[in-house]
Amino acid sequence: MLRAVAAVARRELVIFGRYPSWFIGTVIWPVLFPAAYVFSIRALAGPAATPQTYADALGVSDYAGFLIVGTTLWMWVNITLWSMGGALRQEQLGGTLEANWLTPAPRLAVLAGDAVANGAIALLQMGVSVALFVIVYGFHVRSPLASLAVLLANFPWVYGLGLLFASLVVWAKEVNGMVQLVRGVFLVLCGMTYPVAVLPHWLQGVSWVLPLTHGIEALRRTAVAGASWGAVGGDLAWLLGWGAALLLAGVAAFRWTDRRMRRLGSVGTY
Amino acid sequence: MHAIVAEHLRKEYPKRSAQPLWRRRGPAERFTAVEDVSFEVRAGEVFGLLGPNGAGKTTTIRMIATLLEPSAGRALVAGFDTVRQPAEVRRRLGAVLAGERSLYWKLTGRENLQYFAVLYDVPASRVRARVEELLQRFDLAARADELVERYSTGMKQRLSIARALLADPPVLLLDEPTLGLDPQSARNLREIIREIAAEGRTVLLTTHYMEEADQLSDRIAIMDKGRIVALDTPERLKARLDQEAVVRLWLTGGDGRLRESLLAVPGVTAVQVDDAPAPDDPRRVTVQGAELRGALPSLVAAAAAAGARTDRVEIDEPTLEDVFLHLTGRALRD
Repeated sequence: MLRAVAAVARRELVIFGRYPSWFIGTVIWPVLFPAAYVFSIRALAGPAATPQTYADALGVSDYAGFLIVGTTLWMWVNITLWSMGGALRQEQLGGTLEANWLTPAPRLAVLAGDAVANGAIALLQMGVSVALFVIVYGFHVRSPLASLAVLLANFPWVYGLGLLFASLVVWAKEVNGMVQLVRGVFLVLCGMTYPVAVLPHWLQGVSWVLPLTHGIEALRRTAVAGASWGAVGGDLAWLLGWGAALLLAGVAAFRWTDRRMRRLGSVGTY
Repeated sequence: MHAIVAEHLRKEYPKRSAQPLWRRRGPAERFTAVEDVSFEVRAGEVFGLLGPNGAGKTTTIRMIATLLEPSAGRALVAGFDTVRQPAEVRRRLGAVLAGERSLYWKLTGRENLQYFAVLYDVPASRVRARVEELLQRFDLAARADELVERYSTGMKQRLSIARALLADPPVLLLDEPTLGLDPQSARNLREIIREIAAEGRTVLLTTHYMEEADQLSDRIAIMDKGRIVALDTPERLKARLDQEAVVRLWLTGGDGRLRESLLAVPGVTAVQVDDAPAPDDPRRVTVQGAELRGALPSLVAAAAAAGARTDRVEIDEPTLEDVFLHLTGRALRD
């Protein structure tokens, strides 16, 4: 299984490297996307803004750090939904899904390999974003170990959601609508560029159910405000709980999709 | 033990509705793609499924390849059930089902084979040598490090077959292996299939080219409308028709009454009118029936009655296409 996962991940990374535009986009977008919000927040704060102005509005004075955490995590979820959601579908459209399915390798290995490749690309993007913010805006990670723990705690739910999406997209044969819905909900409700406290009270309740809200909040508290991981234990537990639930749901959805494709013969159709 | 067994295979699908979701009423209609298909393929045999498009050949081979679950019946490969033991089945199968589309075009030929070697569980220590061996065998070594997108269709098809042989499987499934190839590439590929069969592997192939089925297969199942209508060796299938049962007429002109006019001749059971190669060229008309040698004057007269001039008449050896026409009343290419 592990050998097959590694082979799929390697295949994806080699193909990724052969599309220069994908590679350039992966490096450029994480630079441009957060920068747009940095300038927006500066404009809104006005020329007389002091660190206290930002601390009053955002909870932390380091507004660049506040933004990079929100935008990076949201971008990661967004890219995972697009790439993993489209992974099986692309294989189906390209005609290679069937060739993979004809081998004795576990079918889940193909998706797991996609997730590993996607994770590697996501880490590259996060690295680019953080490097830019360190160089340009003087951002520095205050509790690196606790921040790493929070980041790792996000992996299960993000890739569980990716797995779920990949399976559902093969069923629905369309990725755009579903990605737009989920990323839109996360964009508005999870406090990517503003504190959740500014949302209407009833929406805050919904927001605090979502894992991305806890992911962003916990990473802001560790990486930007310097909290220890003991201070974000509740968020970590919430993230891991979502991770377990979404991984199980993803595996179940994949098995359902696989069975459905065998019944309807849609492995090679589009 | 038989290499492949199909027992009363049946496959039905829900029909895809063109209506939007909110206009659909009741359960989806269903259509049957394969009905009561049974055959056994002996180890080392080349077995052909021959039939026109839509006959159920591809559905049958996909059920055997574990890509499709039968609605009823079962299929066994090397004694393993395709639904209950799919991984065991796939360990014993090599398959080329989607041809050139089944390769990663942004990988090189070598990278494709190395990738699939891992998925076919070829031991890590053997991968490099096995890939090199197959690249040499299929005449791809010189361009092994080029991206597959630069390969010709014939090269892609050879690479697909090389991939299917990575794990040295005893059974090979080939779905329309020469479809889309130029005549020379198709000839080369048939030679490769003969070599693979000569190694003692079992080959199940589908085709709608009767020459291909005739040349390659030890036995052939002729399929039409989801069912097997005849199963035998090519020689015995052709021997079902009398030696004087097939007459070919080359006719110039003629109107829409031609087929009916010929069918009205006593003894004639089936008529197939081919298209003329060019508007003024004669077209070939195949007539089947009993004791047709004596009916030749009547056939020429019937053609004339429909406005056609007879340029040439031959009493011909029956082909598999004639057998199909005899069994179904329709041409294989329809």
